[in-house]
Amino acid sequence: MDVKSVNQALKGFITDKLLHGDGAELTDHTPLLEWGIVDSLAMVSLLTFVQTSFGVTIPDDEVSPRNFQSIEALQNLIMRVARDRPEGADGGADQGA
Amino acid sequence: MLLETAPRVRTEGQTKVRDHYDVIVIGGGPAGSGSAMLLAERGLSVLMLEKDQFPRYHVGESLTGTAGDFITRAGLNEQMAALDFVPKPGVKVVGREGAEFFVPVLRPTWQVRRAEFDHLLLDLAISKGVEHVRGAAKSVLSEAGRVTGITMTTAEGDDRVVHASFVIDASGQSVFMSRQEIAGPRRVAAFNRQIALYSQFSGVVPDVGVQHNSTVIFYRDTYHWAWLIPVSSELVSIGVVLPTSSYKLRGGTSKGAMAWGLEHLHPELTQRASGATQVEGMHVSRNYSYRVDPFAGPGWLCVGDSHCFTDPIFSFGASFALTEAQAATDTIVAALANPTAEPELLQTYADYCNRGQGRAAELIRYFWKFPAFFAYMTKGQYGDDLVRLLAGDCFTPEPLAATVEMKKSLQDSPLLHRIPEGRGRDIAARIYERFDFFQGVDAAFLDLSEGVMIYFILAEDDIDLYDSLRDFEEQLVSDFGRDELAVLSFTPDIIEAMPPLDDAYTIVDRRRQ
Repeated sequence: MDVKSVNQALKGFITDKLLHGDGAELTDHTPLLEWGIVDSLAMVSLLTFVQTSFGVTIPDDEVSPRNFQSIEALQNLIMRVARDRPEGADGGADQGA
Repeated sequence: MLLETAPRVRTEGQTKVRDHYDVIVIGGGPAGSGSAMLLAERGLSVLMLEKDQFPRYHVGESLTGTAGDFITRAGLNEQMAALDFVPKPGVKVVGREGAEFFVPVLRPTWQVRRAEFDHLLLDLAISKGVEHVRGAAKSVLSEAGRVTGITMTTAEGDDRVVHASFVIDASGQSVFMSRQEIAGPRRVAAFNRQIALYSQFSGVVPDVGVQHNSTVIFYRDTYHWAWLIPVSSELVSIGVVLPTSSYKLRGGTSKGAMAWGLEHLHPELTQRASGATQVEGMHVSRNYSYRVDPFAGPGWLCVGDSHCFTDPIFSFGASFALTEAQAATDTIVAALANPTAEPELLQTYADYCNRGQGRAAELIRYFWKFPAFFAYMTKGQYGDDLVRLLAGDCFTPEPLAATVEMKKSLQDSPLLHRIPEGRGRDIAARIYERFDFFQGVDAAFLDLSEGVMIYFILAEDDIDLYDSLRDFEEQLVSDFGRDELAVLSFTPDIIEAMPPLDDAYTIVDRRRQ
């Protein structure tokens, strides 16, 4: 698991599931919360996606607006949790981040 | 039920008002009775004015843990139970899409009918030696910049002049000292324009299990919410709160808006209220968040709603009034003993109140801005902090870790990172921080090509909104200077007149949602 693949997977999920395919304007810094892309329902499906795709369980403490405000923030969160809690990562994740 | 049938010892209306007291307290609600009884316990002579005949209706039936502590210290627990007030287990918050969390009370506290609770406190104050007179304060006496008393008219119509070493304004939403231009002007807390409709109902289906008798908050879209508070074994207070724009859309009548709220705010509310009967008239409050500043000065200070009222979603009102009453008492006792220290003591009092009210406001702002994250926060490492904050522990010398975390989230946004560092970004940050309170404003842009130009797009042409925007502009100017700073607002009918904003930074744009 590296930053690039996490980034691409997140963009794919958000484009397909949350933007109904219309992800042309989506960047690493798009404000996901302000623009209503991630609301409470989307947040739950996003957490499930992160769990199933990367084997990373985001602890309740880390479910905060700062960690969900952009794709960049989300990918940093996922990499950090995977690194700090390797038992939760999928088969010994790449520590390269 | 002993208390309800036993004849009360009433001194009301019989007090012969003297010419001088140590302290005059204007208002007999929890802020007034609380301050008056504590001052009397410290040996001061106290005159308390109340314009209404008690018991009288008042909204705000749910108390937090700090009020529970006050009640215990005052020795009132048995009487509270005898009055069929309801022990409060906690607060349940129910949102859309099944989002739900429960925050238990930290310390025992109560749900009350304020008419009787406030009467109980008033009687307790009288029993401690407070002189109570029914009447209204008319004007403030001052000498060389110091408040020295008031003029008043008693319920019998007698005009009186009464002097005091100190005057407390506990007049609630009447904001007496502000209207007398002794305290600062009453300013609406940014753009929080809401309307609340509330009444008491019987036949509401109770909650079961540990949440039985808890306060329930149902929310839908931002600022659309309802409370459900059991206030006796039979009666439940239900209130529906809507932004004024949304109220107008629902027909603009209190009855229509209440019916809409019960039907649409949340299925659980609809179900629990389906067989309910409204047992009293409808009460309506509008435009109700405000602050008064300054709220303390030579010979006077404000307690409770007379200087600050915030979105009541977490029921802080009566509890904060009692917390401030305690602080006001300590301040006044110390100031009368050592007059040279008064300015410093008053500053400490103001800082204390601002700290508590500010943290409550941040908690509420965070809830409205990030309701789903708020729910997660109750489960994680900050859960205990939230229990404390909801118990009313907002006045601690240092902020709790949860408050620090919430504040960071309220202030930080990728939208701001795009703006070059400096005065422009600082101004944008201020707008961003306040924007969740900007009801009626659809979008805000910042243009830095010539100075700092702020563009607001308003949802409607509304005089209250212009007033609020002017207020906000004044605050920006006082904090950031007037140089090259301009605020321009555009309503839908003149939107064509707005210059192209290609190079402007978007601070918020709700039209995208």
